[in-house]
Amino acid sequence: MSVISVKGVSKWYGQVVAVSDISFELEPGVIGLLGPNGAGKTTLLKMLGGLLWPSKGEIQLFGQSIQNNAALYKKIGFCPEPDALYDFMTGQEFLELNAELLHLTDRKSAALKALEFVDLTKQKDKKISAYSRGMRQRTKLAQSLLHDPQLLLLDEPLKGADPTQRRAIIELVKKLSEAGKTVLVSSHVLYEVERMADSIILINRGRLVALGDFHAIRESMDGKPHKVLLNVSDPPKFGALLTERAVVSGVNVSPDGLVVEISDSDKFYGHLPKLAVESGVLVRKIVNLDDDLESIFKYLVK
Amino acid sequence: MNSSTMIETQGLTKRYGAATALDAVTMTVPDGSIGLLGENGAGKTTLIKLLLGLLIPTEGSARVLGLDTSRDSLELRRRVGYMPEDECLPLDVTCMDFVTRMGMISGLPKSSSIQRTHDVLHLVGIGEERFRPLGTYSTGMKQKAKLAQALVHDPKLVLLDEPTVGMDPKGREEMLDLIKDIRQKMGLKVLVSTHLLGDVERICDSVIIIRGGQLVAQGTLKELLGELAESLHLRVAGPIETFVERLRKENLKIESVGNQLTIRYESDAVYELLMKTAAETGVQIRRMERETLTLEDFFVKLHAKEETDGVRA
Amino acid sequence: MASAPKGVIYDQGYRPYDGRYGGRNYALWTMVWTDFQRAFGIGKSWKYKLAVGLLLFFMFLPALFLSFVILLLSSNAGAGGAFIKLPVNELLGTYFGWTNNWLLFLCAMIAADQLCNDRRYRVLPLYLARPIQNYDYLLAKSLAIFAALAIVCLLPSFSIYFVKFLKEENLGQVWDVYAQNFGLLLLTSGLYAVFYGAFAMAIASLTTSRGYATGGTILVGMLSGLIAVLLYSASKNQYTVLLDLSSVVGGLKNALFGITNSSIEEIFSPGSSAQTANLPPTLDPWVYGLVYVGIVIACISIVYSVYKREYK
Repeated sequence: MSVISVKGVSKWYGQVVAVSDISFELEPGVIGLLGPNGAGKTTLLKMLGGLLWPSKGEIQLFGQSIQNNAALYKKIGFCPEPDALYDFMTGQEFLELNAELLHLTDRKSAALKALEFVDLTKQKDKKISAYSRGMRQRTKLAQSLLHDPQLLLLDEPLKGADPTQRRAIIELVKKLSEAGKTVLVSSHVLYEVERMADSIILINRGRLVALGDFHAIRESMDGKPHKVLLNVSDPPKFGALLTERAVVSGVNVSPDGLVVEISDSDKFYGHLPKLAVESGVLVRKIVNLDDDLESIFKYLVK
Repeated sequence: MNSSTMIETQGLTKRYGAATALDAVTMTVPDGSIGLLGENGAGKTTLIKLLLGLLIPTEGSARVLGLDTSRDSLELRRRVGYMPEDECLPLDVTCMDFVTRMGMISGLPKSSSIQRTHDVLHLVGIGEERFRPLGTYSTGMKQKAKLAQALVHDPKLVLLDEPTVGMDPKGREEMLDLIKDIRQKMGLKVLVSTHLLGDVERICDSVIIIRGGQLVAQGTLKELLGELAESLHLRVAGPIETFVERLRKENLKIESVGNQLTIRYESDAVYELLMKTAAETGVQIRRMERETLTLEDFFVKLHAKEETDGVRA
Repeated sequence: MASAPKGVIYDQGYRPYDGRYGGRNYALWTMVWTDFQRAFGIGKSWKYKLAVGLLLFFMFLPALFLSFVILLLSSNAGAGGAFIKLPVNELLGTYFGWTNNWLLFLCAMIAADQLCNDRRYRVLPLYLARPIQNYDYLLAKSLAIFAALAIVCLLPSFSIYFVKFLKEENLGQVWDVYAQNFGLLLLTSGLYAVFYGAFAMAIASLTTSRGYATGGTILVGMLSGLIAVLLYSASKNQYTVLLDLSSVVGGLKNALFGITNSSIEEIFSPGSSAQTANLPPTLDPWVYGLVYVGIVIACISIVYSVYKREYK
């Protein structure tokens, strides 16, 4: 049973259609929610979190409809993008307040556990007004973890975090996924999403553009030959050989090495070792240049 | 001072009562595109303000573009452009009016300022919207407008604080390319303060790392990250077990997790062996790369080391 | 032998600037001039232009009308004749008093617009990063507001002065009176501009909302008058008049132009003292002067302390 099931969901405000007929199913793990500004990501996240109702369609979490299902909220943790904390409280006080709002029985230990998870134990008794941006971000994250939810919706969780904190939050997200949770992360910094997420949802103009493992998405992009960088000991010779054997559709010699265009991945990678051995050329590096999220995003979002 | 140095500080210190924001920072920063890195609260903002001549050092001195930041601060700010991180645009004014006004305050005559505003807005990618109030702009366009006001007076050095904040992937890409162009095509010197180390690796030649008010690392990316690690990373497809077995028989140190292999690199001979074995076993090597230290690895290691050394965060 | 045809492609790239740069004074002048224009609605929304336009209309029109009347009507005209025949100093002094309320509205709007939005949108760092001193921003704003208010005080009264001057029959004898009054006109406009400007700026510094700043300034200005009236009728203490902001600067103006309660009688209903029976007696000019200076200094201190924080 999938954790999230979205069927034909649309959301409009008068004439503005924020989300337009989106359907997908998500399994546990970390999923990256991507899209240009104004694509409908925040609207979609809010609908998944039960903060907004779809104008049309149905959303189910853990097999139950989200509509008016208060019990379901206990399973969802939402970390919104804007910074909205009570400055006059200490970190621990703020979390205990949230624990109370969530009707948790043991508020203190829930707060302490969440603080430990985000590495804020040392500063828990300081007022939030004295917190740095990164610490505020982690407090927001802690608040979404208090009730140990199964589903986490994180909107730009790394905003304002410095490099050490960024790595910590990325590790945290991976830890949550290993603990069996489902984490939906929305972020614009694609090389960071790549590290956290196994699969992605890409939306643009309110519509679903792509879904799933991004390597697989890349593979399924017909008409876009892959570009692979090869660092070899004799670029012209090897390039000529590859062309001759028709395993590549284009060859370019660049300062970094040989850049080849391939339309049939299996054929290319299958022949590569044999041709290397045959020609005696040393192959030191094989890197697919546009198999990353940035390239996929560029190709899919016009 | 060497003409190819853009920033030079000597024991630069700034204290606020008992608190030390910046502690005896001494550095010589060569011309180029520099990344200013540091944890939140490490002293980067104080450093930027000192470099702009907006703060007087408690001790020590700083020279930017050859000008002393205390004595020649006005002249300095004529030659420097600043793009702050936070929201700072007046939303009720049109982009054109605002950037022109900023240009004039920096000393440009009105007609030149109007002309340069048009040029600079084209450069950053703001078209007809320039005649609309800044309040109607998207986050990406606001960032561009912020950059435009930093460039309008033709500065020699631009200080950019988190230039891609809030922008979507396309906007980030445009902004990063723009910064590269500013450095490479327009020849301006650039200082970028950001937490996004991936961006720094892309657009900067060297970095300065501040921690607890002190300079803890400085140098070109090559110098700091230079050495290639001793591991070779592979992603393979096909009969992986057979492949790994064969390699182990050849005394290769190899670890495998699923289709990801990590092999110890000792010499180029390993490449030949890998190709030979792959050809024989019918395995596809879909990715092969010597592992390098990333800037993030360096940064995190630097800070972790300092913590175990007893230096408080 | 024909030479090869020529074709040139021009570089569309970045053009560096090799002109001259103005100095700090140029920057200051730019800021003052653009802020001054903005005070009168240039570059602003039609709503602002409309509001300012209406206020200016009410401030200028009576003066223009009066000037017209003075210019055209002979000295022996009927009912309004007494007013026209007033000596120039009393005419000007009284007219100044009439524009008080409009000035309160105007300075409230202008100061709120000049100061609030920039603080609300936190634009100050962009100014600080420019080749100006860190107090130049505030200096420019103050000068612009002062200039705008001063011009608005000066021009209408000046038109009355001017036509009186034109209609003066024995100019040779009263030349020095007119010279003196011209000086008084300038001085008083300046005093009003500084007073209302400082006051409005102080209130505008306390909030980032233009609406609250405008409303607050108007409210405080009018409340001060109300409180003064109430307290005076309760206690009959002549110093309660100092609680009314417009009376502080008004008292100075009256002292300068030589206007007493009796001259006010003359204007409204010659010969009757009933109107002025309830008015508090005028105080010694120095008292007004002292309170004036005190209020202006207090307002400047408020603005200074608010902006000092912004510079951190």
